Amino acid sequence: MQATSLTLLDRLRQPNPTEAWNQFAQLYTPLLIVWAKGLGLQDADAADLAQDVLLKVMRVLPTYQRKPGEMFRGWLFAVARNEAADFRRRRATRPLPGPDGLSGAAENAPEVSDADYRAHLVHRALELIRPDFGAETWAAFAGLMLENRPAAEVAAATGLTPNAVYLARHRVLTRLREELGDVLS
Amino acid sequence: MPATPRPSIYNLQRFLLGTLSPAEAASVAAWVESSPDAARALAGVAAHDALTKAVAGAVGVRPPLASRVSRVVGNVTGSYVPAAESVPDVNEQTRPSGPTAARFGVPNALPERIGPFRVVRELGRGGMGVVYEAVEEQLGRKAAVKVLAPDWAANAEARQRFLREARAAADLKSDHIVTIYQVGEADGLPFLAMEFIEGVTLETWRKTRSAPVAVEEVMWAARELLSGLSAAHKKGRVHRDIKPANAMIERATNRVKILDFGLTRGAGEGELLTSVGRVLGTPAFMSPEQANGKAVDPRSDLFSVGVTLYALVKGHSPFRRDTVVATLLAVATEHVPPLAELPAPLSAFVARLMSKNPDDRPADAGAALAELRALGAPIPDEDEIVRRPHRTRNRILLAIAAVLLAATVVLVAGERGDKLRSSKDEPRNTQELPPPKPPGPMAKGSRVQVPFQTGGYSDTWTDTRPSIIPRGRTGTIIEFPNDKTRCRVRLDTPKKDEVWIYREYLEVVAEDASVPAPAGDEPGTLKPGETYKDELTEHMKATHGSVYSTIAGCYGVDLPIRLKARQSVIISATVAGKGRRVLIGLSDRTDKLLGGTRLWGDRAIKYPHDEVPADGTYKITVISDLVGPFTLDVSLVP
Repeated sequence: MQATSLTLLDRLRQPNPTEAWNQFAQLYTPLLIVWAKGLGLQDADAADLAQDVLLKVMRVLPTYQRKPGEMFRGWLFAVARNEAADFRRRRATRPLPGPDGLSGAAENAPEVSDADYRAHLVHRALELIRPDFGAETWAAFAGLMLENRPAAEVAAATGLTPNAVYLARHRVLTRLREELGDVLS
Repeated sequence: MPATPRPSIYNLQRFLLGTLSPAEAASVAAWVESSPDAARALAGVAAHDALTKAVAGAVGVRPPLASRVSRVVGNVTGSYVPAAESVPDVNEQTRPSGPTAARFGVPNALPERIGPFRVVRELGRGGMGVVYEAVEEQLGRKAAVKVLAPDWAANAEARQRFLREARAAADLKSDHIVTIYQVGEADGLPFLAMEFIEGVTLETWRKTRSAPVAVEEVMWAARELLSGLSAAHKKGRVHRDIKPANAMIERATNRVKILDFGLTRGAGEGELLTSVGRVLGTPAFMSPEQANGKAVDPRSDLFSVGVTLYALVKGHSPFRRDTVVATLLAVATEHVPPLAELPAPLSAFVARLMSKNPDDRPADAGAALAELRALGAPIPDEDEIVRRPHRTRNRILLAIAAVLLAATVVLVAGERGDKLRSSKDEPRNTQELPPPKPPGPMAKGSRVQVPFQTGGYSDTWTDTRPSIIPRGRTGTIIEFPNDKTRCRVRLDTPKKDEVWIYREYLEVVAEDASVPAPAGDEPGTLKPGETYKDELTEHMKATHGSVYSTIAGCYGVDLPIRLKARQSVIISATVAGKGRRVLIGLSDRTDKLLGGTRLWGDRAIKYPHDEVPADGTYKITVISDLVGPFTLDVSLVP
């Protein structure tokens, strides 16, 4: 994987990054919640931690300078791990038991793997762009790309021509790339 | 129209991947639309890249609950207001700056000079600005210079407040208050120069020591804090944010000096507590009236002194909880058991400072200081006190103090423990009211009911905010962790909600699961013509004698209501208090949110009629972001 392109990140450091920030938050929130749950937090706490991480990122992103060879993912999770440590400290006096009844889950926070990182971002991006497409187009895309079925079969199921099924793939993937910027590359 | 030429394999591949430029894409799409055999050609083109691989990987993703995601997104995007709404954090003279400590708008470069001060190094950063160590060139004296961040300086109101309050603080003179040298503006940014203190905060001091804090050290801290406050209280000033982190111990003199006098805004002035977990440190030291957004006077600081002393003994505030809401609730309602670590008179003094009713506390810091002295035990001088984190305790001094205190303990033996209740400052009428019910035998598997409407941590769409559980709701304890403070209860709701409830708010109805769930309407359902009654508040008034915040209103209520399909009903909620905001939501029995007001405001109105799909019981949820009462009007249109 190449280093995250700075297009979205660059926009975040413009004078008025509200829109870019909204996009960033929309894209990264589920990933961060899943990561936080991986630390053993309850759902609601995981959401709180994700929120803290986002607010922290918002604050420190303007000073983020990508070092050669460093990926944004590495930086993001470094910030997130610090925030998780703070989060635990704040709650240290009266731990809220987790679903397993244990309050202090593993301190060595599991990394989100590269594949999971991408999978969650793509999943979220798909969720976000889905309203932009008609039901048939989406069904064709899903059949072809998510269910991995042959074009002819998808065409029969959706009532579209096989050509239109490929057009659907083209349109959704083009839009998906646009939505993700180059965060995956 | 001429036939579109067949694109190259390369372009077909890029077409499938979605990487063509718009112009190229249009031409390939035209070919695909017009060529009957395009599909066959495309089927033969292999088009895989990192994105398609990631799309395949996304199939197995189990995303978190959509409502939770949207709440986080709403919170963080709504909070993107660098200047006006973020929570200021101005009390960090000593926090080291790391690479991640930089804040919006605060330049990283060290300024050479600020007004008449030559900057030596950066001491720390807070949300509102940067603090530098500096030297005043004319006099050569060291100073800590705090500069308001440009984002805040651009806000006329914040700027004026900074200067006004800094000037007000400048005329407070006490050995126990950090002296303000100068207030001014340099390069368009307001700055505040103050005494540079070599030392640590009380918080750091407490955190870095392993031995328990000795009795005479508590006396010392109380005397030092109250001395500083009495100078301010004489001038009618209230600090509003007394806590261990706001008191510096000067290394050379062992004197405690209070930081940031009048610089911090209390929650009472509209500081928002919506950012969960971010302001926990402060609510845990607030007085009930301050937490409630009411006007504060010197007695509010005394409450915070009491909490600070408690925290020195125990290591944390007695009101520290997992969430801001739970903390505020504890501040408003929970009585703190006397500190067994301290001799009874001192313990009673700390308890008196932490009285819920300001009238039950000393009138101001001067009066409190006199009471402290009247306790009879000696207060060690600053040069006697054992205060350094790494120094071993002075055992001889301790022994002397123990002998002196033993005499006092004997005098009040027998009264101890009852001191809280029997002291003259406790209102007598609380004796006549029924005491809170002691928790029954409670264990995993017990059937319990909620005797009064109460709150619990829930996993419903209200997320971390406690949801309200109506009076009479029954359930089964499915988890009772070792600390025995709260249980996880599976409620007898259609959805079998599982919530965390403090054990004090539960009553055991049977030791096993033999008691069935009640049938029919949910308890507490509002009928047409009925008005909502805040039973928890009534209960707290009856058992504790006093409630300073309408606690049902501090986070919200869930109000069951029977509605007919497409019935018209007007729900309006109004909150009083500067900066408080309210939201209304309507959900069905499965907690699915059907609709609600989307914007926070001091008043929220909802007319659900097209959101009521069928006859049944629905739930109105009102959420407010600061402690305090609210008014809820529900009009059913028959």
